[in-house]
Amino acid sequence: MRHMTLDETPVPQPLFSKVLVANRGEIARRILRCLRTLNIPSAVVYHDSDRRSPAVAEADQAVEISGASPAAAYLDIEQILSVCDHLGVEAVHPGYGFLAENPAFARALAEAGITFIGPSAEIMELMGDKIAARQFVAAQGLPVPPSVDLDPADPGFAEAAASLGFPVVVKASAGGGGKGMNIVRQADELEGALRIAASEASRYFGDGRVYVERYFTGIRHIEVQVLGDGERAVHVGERECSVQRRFQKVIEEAPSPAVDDAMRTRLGAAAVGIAEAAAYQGAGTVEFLHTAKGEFFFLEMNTRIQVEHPVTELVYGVDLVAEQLRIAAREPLRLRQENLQPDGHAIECRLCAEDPANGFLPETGRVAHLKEPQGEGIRMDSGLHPGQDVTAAFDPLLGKLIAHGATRPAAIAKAIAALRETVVLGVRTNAAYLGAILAHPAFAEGATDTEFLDRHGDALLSQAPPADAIVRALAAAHLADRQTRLIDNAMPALHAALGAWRN
Amino acid sequence: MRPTHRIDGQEHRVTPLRRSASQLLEVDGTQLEASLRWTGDHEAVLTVNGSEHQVHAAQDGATLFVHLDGRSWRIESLNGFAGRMDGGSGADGRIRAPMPGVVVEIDVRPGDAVAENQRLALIESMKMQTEITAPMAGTVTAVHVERGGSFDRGAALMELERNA
Repeated sequence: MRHMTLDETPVPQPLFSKVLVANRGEIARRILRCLRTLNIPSAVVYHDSDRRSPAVAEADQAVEISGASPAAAYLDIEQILSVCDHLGVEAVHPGYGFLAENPAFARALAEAGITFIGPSAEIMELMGDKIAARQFVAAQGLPVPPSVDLDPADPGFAEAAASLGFPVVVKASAGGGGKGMNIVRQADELEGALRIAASEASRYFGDGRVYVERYFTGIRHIEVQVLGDGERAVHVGERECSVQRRFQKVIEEAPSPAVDDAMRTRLGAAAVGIAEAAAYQGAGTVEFLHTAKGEFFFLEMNTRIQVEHPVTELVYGVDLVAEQLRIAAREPLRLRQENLQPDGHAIECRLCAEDPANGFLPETGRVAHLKEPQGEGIRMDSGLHPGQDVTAAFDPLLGKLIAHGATRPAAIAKAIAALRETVVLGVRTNAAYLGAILAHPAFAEGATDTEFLDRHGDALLSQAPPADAIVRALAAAHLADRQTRLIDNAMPALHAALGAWRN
Repeated sequence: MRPTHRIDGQEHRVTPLRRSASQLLEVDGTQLEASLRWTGDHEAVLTVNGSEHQVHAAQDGATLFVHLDGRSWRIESLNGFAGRMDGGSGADGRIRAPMPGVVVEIDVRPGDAVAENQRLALIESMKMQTEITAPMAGTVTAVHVERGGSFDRGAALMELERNA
């Protein structure tokens, strides 16, 4: 979009007069950073609990929204629309989670004459309905996992599910991202799993429909990033996200150690085919499961920017959020497939407020001190700030550490060093656990599949810190303790030297 | 006083023996000379037996958070300050949250009689639902949370009075 002045000098105009970020945390900051780079005026909505967050400070405008819970505020379409109206917002970026894949939100914005930065409501509906999406992809001649397409209330359901062969996985049709998924290993567990899955599906998505697929073991989770302008689509390579815990991604990387150029071309062509068949507009991710035999099956398509998008950005030198904005502004895709070549390797670690030693229970607390890693090839996307209360109101993801190196071993080494330099005091995090995964010989070999953490998790957790490190930490804690310091200051050295404390 | 600290459930002894420019400490039976030189509000240099280590530290009551040797440590001082309340429901009939989370459903109201192991509430944490059940038969005397509300670990969710 260019505006010509009288002397014919092109003056770049911002893509939008104002963009509102309807999200929080690290992704809100990530989008705001891009808006600043593109000289687009920005706004953000926030709940009171995020009042002092960096995103609120960094946006040109910030408007408070409220709700029955903090999360409910970010899901309140009416309230966000009224903020858009009040601020004169031209487009809304939903980030990921919250309203990012909500067709009703996209429709409501369209009715108000506001651009939703993402694909059309119809595409979100198609891809959001995992049963319909499977059928759409199968109709393109691409492989989908064997499944039962009957209603669970159908009397033939149990038999049809059993005929897939156990294990099977029960998934919510409106699900995705691991929610409402349950693995069933034997026939007598099926009924209970269906009930739980339907209950979770109703609660999370307001749609209790579930379906059953064969569950493959020893598979990799490989996803392909696509960008489409409604006519043409390109792929920006794959990401491997096999290191998962309870279907939640823990570590992601690009490229996948299991994908060679020929496989990349095949997967890329399949993903581009799906995007073009859907006349896809925006950034999307086509997820595949990749079996040990080298087969791949379509899993689902996500119509949002993914949490793990930075690994693709570092390897391909593409700003995916900027591309989303250009596509939403109706600019034709500038990227050419032949120019998109991977450069080096990138690894992302999800830093979470959780206690790996205690069943990964979420941790809460106040961030007392923070020092994020820096350096060449290191990117930290976080929404953390000192004084922040980490509560159970939101997802435990605190931030993402992404390391880029010329080779996979170089990227691993950089990520390990950066994790060691990541200082988050006041709330326990999984940083040491992430470092232990990266340092595991099986990870170094690229022997990652979705059971990696089931297989190696116990060994990773039992890695006790060295005894001398424990002693140093205790000495530091004792000397740093306010009580020790008060007594030190109050007590003349002579008395202290008498060993008055000892008993 | 026998200063005791805890890391991941394991107790350790730190006894100050002598203080001059540095302190002579005995940590779990090992003696060492240690000093801490503060370079910022939360940053310091720890010298242990002559070698220097960068330290980041912060304190929350009796809990010290220390970043040292490439990892963060959460160290609780077990004496000198009031002990912390742990999660878990006790025989006192107070139903405590085993983990931080959000209330999905509440099944009971004050005055309700409940059987042992009866479900009292459904909570959600880490995208996973967990049932809170009655540790004993009794009567619900108070409910401190409401549906949709969030809570920290160890928070009192409800009170139960044992049947006479």
